[in-house]
Amino acid sequence: MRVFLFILVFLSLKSPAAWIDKSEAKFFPKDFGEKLTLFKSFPAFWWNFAVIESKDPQSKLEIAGLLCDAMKANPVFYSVQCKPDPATFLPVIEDWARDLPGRSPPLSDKLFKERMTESLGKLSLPIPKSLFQLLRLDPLQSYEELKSHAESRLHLALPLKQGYFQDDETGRILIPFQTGFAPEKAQELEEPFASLRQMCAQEPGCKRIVFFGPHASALENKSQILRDMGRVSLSGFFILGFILFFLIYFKRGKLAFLFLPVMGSATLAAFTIFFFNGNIHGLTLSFGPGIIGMVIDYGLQAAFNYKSRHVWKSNAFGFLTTVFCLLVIANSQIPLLREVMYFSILGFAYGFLILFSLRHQIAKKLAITAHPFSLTYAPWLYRASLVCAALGLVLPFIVSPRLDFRQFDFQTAQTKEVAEWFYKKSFREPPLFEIDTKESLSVSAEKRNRFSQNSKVLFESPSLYLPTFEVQNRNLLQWKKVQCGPHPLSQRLTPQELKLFDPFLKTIECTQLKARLLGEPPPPRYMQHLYRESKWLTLWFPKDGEESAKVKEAFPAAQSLGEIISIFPKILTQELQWMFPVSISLIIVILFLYYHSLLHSLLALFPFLCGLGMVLSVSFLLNIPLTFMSLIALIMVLGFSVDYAVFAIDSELRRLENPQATASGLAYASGTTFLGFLPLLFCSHAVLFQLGFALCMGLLGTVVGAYGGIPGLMRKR
Amino acid sequence: MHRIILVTRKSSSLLVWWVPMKPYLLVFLLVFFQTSLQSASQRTVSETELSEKLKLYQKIKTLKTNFHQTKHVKDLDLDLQSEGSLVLIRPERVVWKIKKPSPTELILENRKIEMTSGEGSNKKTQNFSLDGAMDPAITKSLLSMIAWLKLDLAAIRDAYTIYGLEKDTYQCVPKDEKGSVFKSLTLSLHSKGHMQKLLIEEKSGDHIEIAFDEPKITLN
Repeated sequence: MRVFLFILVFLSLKSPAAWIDKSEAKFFPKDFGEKLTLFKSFPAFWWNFAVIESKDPQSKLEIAGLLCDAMKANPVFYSVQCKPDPATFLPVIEDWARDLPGRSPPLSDKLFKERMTESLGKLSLPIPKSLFQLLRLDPLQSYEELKSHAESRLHLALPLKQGYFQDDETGRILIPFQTGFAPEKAQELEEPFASLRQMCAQEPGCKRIVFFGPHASALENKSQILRDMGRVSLSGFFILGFILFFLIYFKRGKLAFLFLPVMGSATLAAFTIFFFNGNIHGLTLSFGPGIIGMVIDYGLQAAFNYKSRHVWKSNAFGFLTTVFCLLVIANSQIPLLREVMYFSILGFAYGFLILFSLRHQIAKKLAITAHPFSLTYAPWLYRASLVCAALGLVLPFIVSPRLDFRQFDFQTAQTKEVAEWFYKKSFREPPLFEIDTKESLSVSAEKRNRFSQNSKVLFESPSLYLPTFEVQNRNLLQWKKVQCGPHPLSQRLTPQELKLFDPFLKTIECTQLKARLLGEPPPPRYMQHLYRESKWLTLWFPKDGEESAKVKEAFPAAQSLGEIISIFPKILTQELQWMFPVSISLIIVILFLYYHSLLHSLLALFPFLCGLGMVLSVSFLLNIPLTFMSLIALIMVLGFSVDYAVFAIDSELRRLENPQATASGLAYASGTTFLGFLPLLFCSHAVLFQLGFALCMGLLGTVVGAYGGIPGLMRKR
Repeated sequence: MHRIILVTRKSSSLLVWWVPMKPYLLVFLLVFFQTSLQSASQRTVSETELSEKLKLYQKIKTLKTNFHQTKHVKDLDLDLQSEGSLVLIRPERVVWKIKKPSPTELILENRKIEMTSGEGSNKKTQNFSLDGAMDPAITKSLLSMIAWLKLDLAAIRDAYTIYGLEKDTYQCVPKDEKGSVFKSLTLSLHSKGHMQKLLIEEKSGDHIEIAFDEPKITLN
């Protein structure tokens, strides 16, 4: 049933509802999350890559040409770096040439005339029209400066040959391309990508075209999750059908009504969160209902133990242990984890209250006859539980969790192979980023320029392209002396030169000579990649760790993307170190209040220990990493394992009068949970697989502990 | 009464006669004769004929000539004049030196271009490779230009369909029209056998006319 709730939530995520938050920002404390979102909103981060492999080296340029032309013809691809056409740079050069008077003082008469004549000479050559226009716009050839900027910051180790970045070793052709939108809108690339793949498939010489980068990755992840959820949905429907059939066949169909209050409580919880937050994260909606779904177990116990007066006391203490556990985790610095916990607590509370208020109706109308089996001592099961529990005690000190963000990034085998090939060739040290407002940009401009000159660390910042307002005004003053005087530069030119260089001369007319405030929007086209929503980006390109350290010392706010993302596992590790002990301690205290026995309170943790042991041992044997999703699953395992333990202990203590009812309730609870999460084991996306794996293994261990360990330990005492 | 000028292939004389015709027949005849005119004036030139015409260049070791160039920019209705010299040193080296309006020297050798521009302290040299960053279409066009300057007949034949126009004038149309920046190149030979004029028509509508002086040649 829980998977059904997942399905409903994921299907609803397909609709572009503005109230569902899908951002990564909630994985990080507020400041870091905002920084990460902001970094990724700059067009400088919107570069992706297409890698073309051909079967025949002779035809690779032809194939690359076809695909290049197709990409350039599609407006979704804002910039495509293949077969460079000077015409595409004209708008950028236009702004660059226009701002020349601010950047540098006027040339001497002699030099000015020489440059113009030199350009005249070049214009007489048989050059493409676009180059012709470029020289008309910028006869002083200041574009050379812009070109050398761009070349020095290009970190591709692949040479540009015949219009393409080519790898001689593998024969691969790399085409960098930039979109005009952030990765959140990556679905706009779905159709163009499919069309390019189709083109490649139709070309006999084309082997494959692979896309990677932030947008390609977002699309690949989304596609895989949707594919997996399709599988889960399909199997979920069959499982649901099977469960309903089972219930009806064994004349226990009434139990199906228990799902209604659970679905209602999940919906109420979602609206409550939305009411206070204004939105709710997609992952909260995906995982929260799974936690809330555990409340069904109380309904099942109540339905089977309909004659027992004690069942709701058992339920209440089971409920309290789970809620307190969730409350501890709700103190996390990670906003998403806080939201999932509050959502789960609310839903859990709503569900419990609804079921509790309907307890009489459940006892009357949903009363179910137990199956003829109960919890008994089985030596083999008892021994198995002891082994599991021992593993649960030892393995946490051996198995290290992998809490980094890469688990959330699904890549097909071919994307992974190509991406690794590329990153090995291209980056030595990751770049460092800083973000400025308009005001702070002006303040730091001089310092950055000086630092870069002294330390030789390359950087990319608006101050590199445009000097400060004061410097610009000094330059413009000199230009105005010439241009606004009786003998402007145009008087030095022949009629032919006047006509040819008219586009340039217009930009240096007296009335056009104005300083541009550094950081003032709108940004000129040569700086647009560094600007986003009144914020400016600075990028540092250290060659090695030593340079990186120098930059960080001089500019403490400079960070790499990897450093920001690595905050997530650091925080999570620190929090786990106190959350688990505190949760366990609280559970023991609450159960002590219930049992007045430390032994029974500790015994209630035995099934969890078995569950933990099962998860860790199978992970270790099969080399499956323990990740953030595994930890979410273990929270759920802790929740239902304590519930099962309380039911089992109460059954052994004869508090719940009918042992068969308790055993049946446990069987139905664990059975439906297991069937519900089983389809996740067949998913390809790591996030879904790891969740399903940890839940299924945790549940198996819990059942072993509850059915084998508790009766064994209590009877052997 | 309609006058139609007929030019027959067999005789080079013009036959003129007055023919009273109905308009549709006139149109038919015009089309027919126009095609004939074209066929007569634009005939495909064979390899042997071209080699024979350019036999002067077959055995040269070096060639040096001066040129005067006019580039007509269509949308500005403007002519850009330049003059300079061409030096060809077989097998691969071509030096295109512009003296006016501004000293610019292009050395083309082994798929590399060295461009030197400016004078004195402002002189700068840039190096390009034809296997480098350029659009393949530009590379292709540059290679075919170089083939013309080197008078590499084999390369010219591979890249162009050559038509004979009037006496000693040949029009070369790129075989790959889409992949070329040029629309056509028209070559005129002097009676002494050297290239007298080269007219390059670009797709943009601009054209470049280069007039060559009599070259100084050394033979193999």
